[in-house]
Amino acid sequence: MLERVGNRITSAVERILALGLILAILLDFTNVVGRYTGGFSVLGIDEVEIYILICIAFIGSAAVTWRRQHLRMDVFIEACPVRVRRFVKFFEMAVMLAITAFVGAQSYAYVSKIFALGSVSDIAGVPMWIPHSAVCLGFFGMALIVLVRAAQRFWAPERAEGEAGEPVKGEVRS
Amino acid sequence: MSIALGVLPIALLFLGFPIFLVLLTAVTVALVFLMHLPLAALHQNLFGSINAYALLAIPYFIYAGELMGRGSVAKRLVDFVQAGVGSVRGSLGVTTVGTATIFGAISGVSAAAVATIGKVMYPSMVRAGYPTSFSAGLITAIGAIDIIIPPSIPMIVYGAAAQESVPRLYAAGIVPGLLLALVIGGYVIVRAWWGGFGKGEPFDGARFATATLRGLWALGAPAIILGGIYGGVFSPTEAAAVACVYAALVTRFVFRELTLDEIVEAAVATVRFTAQILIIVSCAGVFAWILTVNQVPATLVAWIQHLEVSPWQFLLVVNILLLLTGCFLDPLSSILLLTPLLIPIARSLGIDTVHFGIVFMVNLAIGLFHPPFGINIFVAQSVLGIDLKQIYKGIVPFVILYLLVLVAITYVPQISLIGVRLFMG
Repeated sequence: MLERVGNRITSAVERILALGLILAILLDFTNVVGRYTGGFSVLGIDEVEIYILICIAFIGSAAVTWRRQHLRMDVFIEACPVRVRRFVKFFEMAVMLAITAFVGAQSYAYVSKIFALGSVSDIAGVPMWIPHSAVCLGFFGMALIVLVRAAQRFWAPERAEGEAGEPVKGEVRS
Repeated sequence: MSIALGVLPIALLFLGFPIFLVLLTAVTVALVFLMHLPLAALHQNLFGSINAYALLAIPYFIYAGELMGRGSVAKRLVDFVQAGVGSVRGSLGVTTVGTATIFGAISGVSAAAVATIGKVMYPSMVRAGYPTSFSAGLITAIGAIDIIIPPSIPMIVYGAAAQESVPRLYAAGIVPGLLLALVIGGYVIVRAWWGGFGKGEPFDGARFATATLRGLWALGAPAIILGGIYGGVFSPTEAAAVACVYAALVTRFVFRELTLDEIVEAAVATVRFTAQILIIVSCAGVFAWILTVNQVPATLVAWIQHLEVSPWQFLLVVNILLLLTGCFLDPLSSILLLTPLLIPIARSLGIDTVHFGIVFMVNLAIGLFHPPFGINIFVAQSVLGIDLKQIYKGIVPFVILYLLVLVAITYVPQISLIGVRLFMG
């Protein structure tokens, strides 16, 4: 049940980010076409594109965490006995929860400050708390996912072992 | 500090932690327990590391490759190259090399080239009597050329990490990429002649014309990307965006192969891959900043100067280090972890950072198919459905060829820099 809900939310987030990516590409393309055909370029498009990229990076990372596709060097740990791997996995989850929650909290403090200041981007006038929130959302999202995974392991360890027990090899494409 | 920035990340890396977490843990420990800096710097650097227009080229080029790789582009390119190769001995092998080279100028994602070209070429090669291990080895190895030939995703990441111009790096990658293709193509011809297999069909002008017409739309993508950048029409990011629109229009309306939903699906795959990369870029940016604040690169430079290491000795050590790293880590992570440390030393020894970038790429390209863990080996195993031993056996001569070219590229900087002079003036 939890797995299905998580998958649905992740797919929805990925789809929204994918549409954002397509929008960014179309904005860039419009600027190129405008420059060579109409002699115009829309100011501030670059900024908007970069903010979409930042959302893809941080919010997308939470989706990658759910799908267990983060890049890692797991050749040595994969060669270890199951008991060692299980212990390392718990250790990794504890570290990930602590670090992502800490970074999320730091980001939240920063976002609150610039929200209060009301700062906007130089050209497009985008309120800066919006792109900065992506960092905060991404890290809190990752922390939440680690908690959910931990709960899965606690309530249904056999199932979690199969689904989330060992690190799934990252989708390394270079 | 050396424990936080040296021992801790290496230990976590070997424990198989996600690479972004390795970097972020080291950074957080250093910032919270050992340094007296405001913690807001953590967020600022995470955000600032990817707040760069040049990095937009990463998802755009990945997306263009995703779109072009999902249709019949590879088959069209194969037909075009094969028709042009004619009766040369080992013509199918040479076609594989040529197609991978052109595909590299579209995609820049090595594993995609192995999968896409392998699916088309491997059955044909085996049917034509090419040894299984040779065919598998060739397909596994030739895909790695994609990270040397522009547009290359690792080059964009290196450009960001080393603060080097991406168009200059792209220009520098052209000649080494073609040199590798020539050397491997030459080896294929000699090996086919020696083994008595792979007799090609005579050149047929009409067939070549038909194949060229069919392949014209696919060939348009590299023409737009490279012509646009070096013709001064677009920046690399704009060229990537135009290539995406071109790829979407061609696969949707000309080839009539992708539905709108599949175009969005390709964007979803791009988002996943981009997030995997950029979270590491972001954390590596903070890690590099911490290293700089603690004067780690400067200390390393002073140490190297004290040892009176010559540039050739340094490059030799770098080659060994990168070959070892490439066996265990993916190229992008290797670049992000090592560039902040190696670049200041390379600069202090007077090594051109563009040339150094190409040396970096060739080393990491070898790591992509070097036994035992090169990722292309596993891609080939999955796509071609053959035994790992056959692939390992087939790869050996190609590892040697790549190493020979690596030596040439390392110690003859002109091989890399001639492209910069030709294309950038």
